[in-house]
Amino acid sequence: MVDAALIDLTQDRTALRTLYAPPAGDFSIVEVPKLPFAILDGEGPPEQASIEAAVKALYTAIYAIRREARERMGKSFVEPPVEMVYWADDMDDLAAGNREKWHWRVQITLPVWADAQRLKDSAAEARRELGDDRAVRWEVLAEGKCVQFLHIGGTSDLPAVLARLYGDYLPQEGLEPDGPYHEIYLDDWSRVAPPQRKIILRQPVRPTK
Amino acid sequence: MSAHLTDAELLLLGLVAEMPRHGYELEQIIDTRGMREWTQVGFSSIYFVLGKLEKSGLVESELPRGAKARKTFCITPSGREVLRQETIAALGAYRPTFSSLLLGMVHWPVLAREAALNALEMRLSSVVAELERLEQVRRQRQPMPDHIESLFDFSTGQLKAERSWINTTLDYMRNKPW
Repeated sequence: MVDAALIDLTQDRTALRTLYAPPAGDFSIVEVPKLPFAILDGEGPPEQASIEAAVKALYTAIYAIRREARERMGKSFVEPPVEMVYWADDMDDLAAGNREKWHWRVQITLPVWADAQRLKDSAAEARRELGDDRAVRWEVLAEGKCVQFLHIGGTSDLPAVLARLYGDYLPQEGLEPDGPYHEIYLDDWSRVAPPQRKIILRQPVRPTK
Repeated sequence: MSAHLTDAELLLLGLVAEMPRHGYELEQIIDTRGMREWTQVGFSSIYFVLGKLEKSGLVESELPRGAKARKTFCITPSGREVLRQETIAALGAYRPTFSSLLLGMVHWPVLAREAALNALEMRLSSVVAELERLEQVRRQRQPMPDHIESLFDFSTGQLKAERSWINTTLDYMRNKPW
């Protein structure tokens, strides 16, 4: 059964643009709808090598779904980018950029027909490449109101942006974090040099209590 | 530089355009992206080709300080312009490739029917095996950007066309009464 309230981002180009093509260089507010995701939980602190391995495993697990999506939808299939999601037991560690204390996961939204069972089947097809220890799960997320920022450049500038987000922008707007922080990488880092890399920073928010 | 680049030159120019890289890194990328399968770029020729590109002013090299420093190659503005033009030419111009099948079919009558049919069946199984191999390579190389996924679609599309042609031809040749 497909949940009627689920948004299929692989078909909705307008929503895709709103969610993944924000104006550069400024904080903006976006309403993130209810979306189905394939999610792989990270282990240990977020380090480039383990993140890359997790992204690869996630894409390998959903390969059969993407192949079917291309066959079913042809040119109307547009793929949303992969998202890194970070959180910390103490929110201050997130704001301060203490990455060694962060927890993380990788996720990508799926077409609505790709339900939990489809994801399981797709991952099973790639068992030889995946091994047994990687468990990709299916989950629906509705993050609602978020603040986001399009950053172009390397990751070394990110702490400064986060400091502005948590230190200035959110308090000024009367908002506080409400859920884990996202980094959405729009480029393949093995093909795009650091100064040109586009990264969307996204933080779910709620009015300050 | 008005003359067309060779395939090896265009390949390396494009990889250096992504970001500055040194020779050994280029060697590794050519390997991990499976470019070795469809280009003739040996390890020794990488430096030779980079040298040619440098001499034509399309890339420039930089030797950082330090004992273990490796020479890093960057693209120049004129290199980027040539890369754009050569990419348009590569996408836009159809360059036919001739399959061994052409000679095989031309000489079909020199074989007994069974021998010819067997040979065509062998071809069919290699085509099927290649389709399976590509599918597996695709899974192993995830994630790939969409323009690379489309490139794989191109190769599998050609193989599927060939598979369908072989099946039709086998049917016809098996069933004709003389």
